[in-house]
Amino acid sequence: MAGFSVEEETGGAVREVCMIDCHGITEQQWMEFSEGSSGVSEIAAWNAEIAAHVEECAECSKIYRELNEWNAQLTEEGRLLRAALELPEAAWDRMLAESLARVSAMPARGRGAGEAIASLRALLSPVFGAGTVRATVEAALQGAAPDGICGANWRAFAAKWSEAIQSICGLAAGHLAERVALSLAITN
Amino acid sequence: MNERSRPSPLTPALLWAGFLLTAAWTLAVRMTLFTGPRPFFVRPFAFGAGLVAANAVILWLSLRVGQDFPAGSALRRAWRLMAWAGALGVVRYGAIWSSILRGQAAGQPSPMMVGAQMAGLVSVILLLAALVMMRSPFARLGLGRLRWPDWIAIGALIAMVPVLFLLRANAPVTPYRLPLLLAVQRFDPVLIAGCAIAGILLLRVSRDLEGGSLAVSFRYVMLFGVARLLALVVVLFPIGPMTAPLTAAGLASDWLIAIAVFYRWRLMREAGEMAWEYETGSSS
Repeated sequence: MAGFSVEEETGGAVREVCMIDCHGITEQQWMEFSEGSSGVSEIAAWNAEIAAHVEECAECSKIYRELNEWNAQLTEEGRLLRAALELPEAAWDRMLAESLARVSAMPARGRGAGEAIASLRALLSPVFGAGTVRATVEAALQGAAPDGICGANWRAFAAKWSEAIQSICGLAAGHLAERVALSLAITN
Repeated sequence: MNERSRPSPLTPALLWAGFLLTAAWTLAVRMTLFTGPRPFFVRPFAFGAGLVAANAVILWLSLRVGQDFPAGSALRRAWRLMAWAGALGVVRYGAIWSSILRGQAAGQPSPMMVGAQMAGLVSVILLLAALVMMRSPFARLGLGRLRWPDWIAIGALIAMVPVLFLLRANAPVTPYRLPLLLAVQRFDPVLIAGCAIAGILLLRVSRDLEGGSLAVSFRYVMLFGVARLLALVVVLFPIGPMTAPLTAAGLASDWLIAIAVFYRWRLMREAGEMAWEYETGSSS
């Protein structure tokens, strides 16, 4: 299968992402599949194809289980952060820091760029807004990884993302963004 | 390296209390001093400690937010302008307030009162420039692109300017009859429409941000524009009892900008705190 567009992920231009590339299934396709995205007919067709493959392939079945666990953890972190918006400021800061620490501590094995970007979105959208994160990630991808994001250019992406966040949210926000991005170890 | 900042006594509830108290105070003064309904721009009485405090908050927090941007950046310049607007607001209302406290008759022209009026005009111009300047970095990221409802609203506001001038010309304006002040006052409708348009631009940015303190901040800018506009056009409304509260809200609207600046400052503070928590958490 061909590399999948991350347009839905970044809200912007079409580009290819680096792959886990297990049996030709790209990382982005895994993400879409595990999240159950089916709004686009093309994605739904791929999802059906992947589902059939996962039924038969033990290795892919294992990846699918791991991704599901990881998604569940992220979803739980997002839920906690949304609940934390009702807390006093200091408690909310602590909770975000703890969330970041937990996400960073999750096993890096199998965590690709797509998952890391999903983590950034889940963690920092409550702070900066989902639209801010989406637009700045897109700008950073264009600047640092026009041919695709992977472990090799993740650091450059983090710097560009921090710069984009900083341009509208300030130095403190840019610093936080860079810290969070660099804390997410990713695989190629 | 970030440091943990001390807890701030400022809260949205406190700033809202400032807004409500100033508006209530303005209403009380109007009811005491005027026998009949009097339209907007009874500016000599639209003063008080409340508005000095609101502008002091704008000045202080804007300076802090401005420092959070690199030198030479558009947003640093915008926040400097905002701080200047707050400083001139303090000068304006401080001068009027102290004149009244010294027992000077409200309608009596004096160099201080003329200076206060001029400071008020320049303050609004700087505020408007700051708001417009704030949009450009967001636009570069594709945020805040105007949609057709925005264009319709902006068109309606521009079309409304002649009506605003008419309202302004017919209103019993300032008791200071100096030609310069009258000219200054007649310029107000353009600034009021400008603030409302800036509010529309930033409201669109706010929607595109999809949450966070920054989006809340921009919504308050929109509220400020609406409050100022309603205070001017309220005389067109058929319901008489709406005049007084809407006028009071317009006169106290500097607090809405103070709340907008507060939310922007809070984002800076939250980000610094989170980075601090994260760094200390990571290192421990």
